[in-house]
Amino acid sequence: MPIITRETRLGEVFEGNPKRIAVERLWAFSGGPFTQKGWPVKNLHTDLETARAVGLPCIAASGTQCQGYVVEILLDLFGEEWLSGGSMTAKFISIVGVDSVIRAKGLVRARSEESERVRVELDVWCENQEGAKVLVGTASGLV
Amino acid sequence: MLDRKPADQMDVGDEFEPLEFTITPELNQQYLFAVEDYHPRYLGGGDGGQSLVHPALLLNFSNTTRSPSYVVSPGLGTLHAGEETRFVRPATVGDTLRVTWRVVDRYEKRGRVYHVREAVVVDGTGRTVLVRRLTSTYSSKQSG
Repeated sequence: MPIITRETRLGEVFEGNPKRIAVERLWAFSGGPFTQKGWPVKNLHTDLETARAVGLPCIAASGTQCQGYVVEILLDLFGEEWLSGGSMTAKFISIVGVDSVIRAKGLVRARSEESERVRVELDVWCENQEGAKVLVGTASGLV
Repeated sequence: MLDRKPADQMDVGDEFEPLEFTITPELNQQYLFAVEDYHPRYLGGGDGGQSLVHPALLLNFSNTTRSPSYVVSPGLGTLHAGEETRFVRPATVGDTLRVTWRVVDRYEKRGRVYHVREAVVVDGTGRTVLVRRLTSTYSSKQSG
């Protein structure tokens, strides 16, 4: 059941559950399929040497992993229909290291009429355990 | 034209080798674990007992680095700077998906090269699942 309706007030904030990026989850996300030979694939998300070789101080979670947290709250807010016409933008503004605790949030920013339906636009972001934003973006869906 | 030159040297119009893959229940569940999202819609609780593919899997597999032809010049790593994504229709477990990528813009900002690539994911019947515009730059020991 979608949470956002035509009556949802502008300025209302929704948030997902905190997610700790344990190394096991980071590897599951960025290491390739478990069945791949030599799993996890070595890349800047899974291997410290590779990360350091390209100038990063630590292995960094994929920005897409944080996007996954944003998508989860968008599906809660709009329902599965969001997968048929929903959209989002994202900018990855900070490195997310192992054991960071990330929480996705969304603020209802605007509503507009669209073919007898209402498009609801949100500002979305992810914060780490210190309250610093690591991903910022926008999203929209129809209600 | 398919191009195997390093991603950081690509020009507008260049394409990467497409990726085709089948989504097994196990692969989908790998991503449910990765993002700690075990909603029933991904575990057989959808219409007709279908399992939807978690969108995080679709996003991860449509990152340009997933192309079999993706390489960067030695000493460089790829940084995902930003993107726009439009979800067109859900994918279900068991689908075979195909991802294509094409360079649509290249520019420099504050001494860094940026590429914008359009990724399109289609299902086994050719229907579009999602469309993304991905902006990437490159990290090296010199650039930090």
